Amino acid sequence: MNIFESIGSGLRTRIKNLMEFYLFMIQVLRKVFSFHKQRQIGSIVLLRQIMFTGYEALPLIIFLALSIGGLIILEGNYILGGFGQSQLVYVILVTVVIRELSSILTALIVIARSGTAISTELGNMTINNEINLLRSFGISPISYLVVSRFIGVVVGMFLLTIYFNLAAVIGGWLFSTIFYPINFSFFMNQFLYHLSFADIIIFVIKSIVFGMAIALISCYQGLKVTTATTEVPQRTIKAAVTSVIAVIIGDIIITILFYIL
Amino acid sequence: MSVLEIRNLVVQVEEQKIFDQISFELENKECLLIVGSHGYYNGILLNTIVGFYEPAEGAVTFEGVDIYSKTEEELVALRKKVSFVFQEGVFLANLSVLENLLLPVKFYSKKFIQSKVMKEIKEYCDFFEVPPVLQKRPAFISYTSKKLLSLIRALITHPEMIILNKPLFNLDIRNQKRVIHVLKEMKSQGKTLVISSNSFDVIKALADRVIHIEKKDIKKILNRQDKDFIQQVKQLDILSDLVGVEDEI
Repeated sequence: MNIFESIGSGLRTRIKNLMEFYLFMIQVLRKVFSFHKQRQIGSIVLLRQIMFTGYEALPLIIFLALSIGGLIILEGNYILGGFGQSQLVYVILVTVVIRELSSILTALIVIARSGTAISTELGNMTINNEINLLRSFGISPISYLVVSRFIGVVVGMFLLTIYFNLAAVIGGWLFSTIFYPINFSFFMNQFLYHLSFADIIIFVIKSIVFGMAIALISCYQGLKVTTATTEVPQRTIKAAVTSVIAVIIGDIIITILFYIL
Repeated sequence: MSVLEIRNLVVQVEEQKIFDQISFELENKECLLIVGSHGYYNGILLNTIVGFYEPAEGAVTFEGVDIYSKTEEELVALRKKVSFVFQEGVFLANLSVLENLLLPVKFYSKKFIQSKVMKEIKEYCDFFEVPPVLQKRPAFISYTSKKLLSLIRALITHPEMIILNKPLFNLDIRNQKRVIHVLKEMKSQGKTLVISSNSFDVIKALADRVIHIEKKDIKKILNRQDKDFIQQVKQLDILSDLVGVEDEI
């Protein structure tokens, strides 16, 4: 095989995989709207996913957000205070934490916890014939397993991003008090003064888009497992890496679009 | 009227031809036994009939509907009528045994009445003497319990046709008798049965037709109406409970 054939074959495989993923995504998005028809059996899977993604990750998210929010205020106060521009820390808090870090860091935690768990679980289910079992009942694995996880991860990711932002702001206030005693309501007033509606919209869009990307990629990779248990970790790694890349590219695109529009 | 029709089926697994142009039919209320020296071929045939392996050529039709030309949604009505029982008793690992049993019934019923289904489950559990494991996760229950409970799961959906892969495999004699009894009862109620098993007892008790499958082809088809049906069945050298070691000694 010469170099051109090898490049051509690699390209063909990538295009085929992309097409396959695109069709999978369309199928999932289509079935999201008919989820209510299967709520009798799917609601338990959905609730478990929301609990796992949106609630059980809460301590880790709060710890991370308190530290990040606090450290940004600490560093900001130290640097900007030297120029007499301490009030700019609120701008940094809004721009860096609310717009960027909250959704990116939450997405990374969701990938590490839920994304890997989903692809591992679905991969093992394929090997153990559980997917075929559902098909034998006439239950679509996409509707029952994927759609419920998709909605669960999107809702969980959205909730976690809200918790992250709240905890980061509280962390910022706590660390501010190290420099000078500052009233919480004054701190919040200053923060809200610098927070615009657009900042809220941008983190909401990011959290939803990232949640969708993580859920789709993880479920797709999990269901790509065929027969061997050795495929499970390989697919899980692929799910995590692809999700990280998708989240970062998504973040860049959303941010650029926001500034253009 | 034939309820199941296999027409010119060609099945390939990893580019290896497993079946080459096999055809047979199954009449309504009939019991078809699939026997063969290798469970591998029987398993692939059953999986193709159920819809897990898409054949390279040919068609599998249930009540005139080619299952491989339909989407999953279009097949739901058909799936309600046909239950498949896996050889190893497959369960969803993250649900309790009871949740597993109720899953298809809940999915099929518009108005699900748990007490009615629970009564049925209890009756079957008592009959098979299944230990009290309904609240446990499938990983904690024995192979025998899994096998019997997966049969119960199929029975409580009241299918018109049941497809079983090795229903007696690894069961003790008492449970084998119970399974045969339940299947006989289903047959007497006019249900259609497709069973992959090399058990002479099952053939004797239930089979209207026996298909002997070997690699790529159907080796023999025996009908109960045939003269010397039982004798012909005994001559198949693949039956699991006719080893005849004592005779030779």
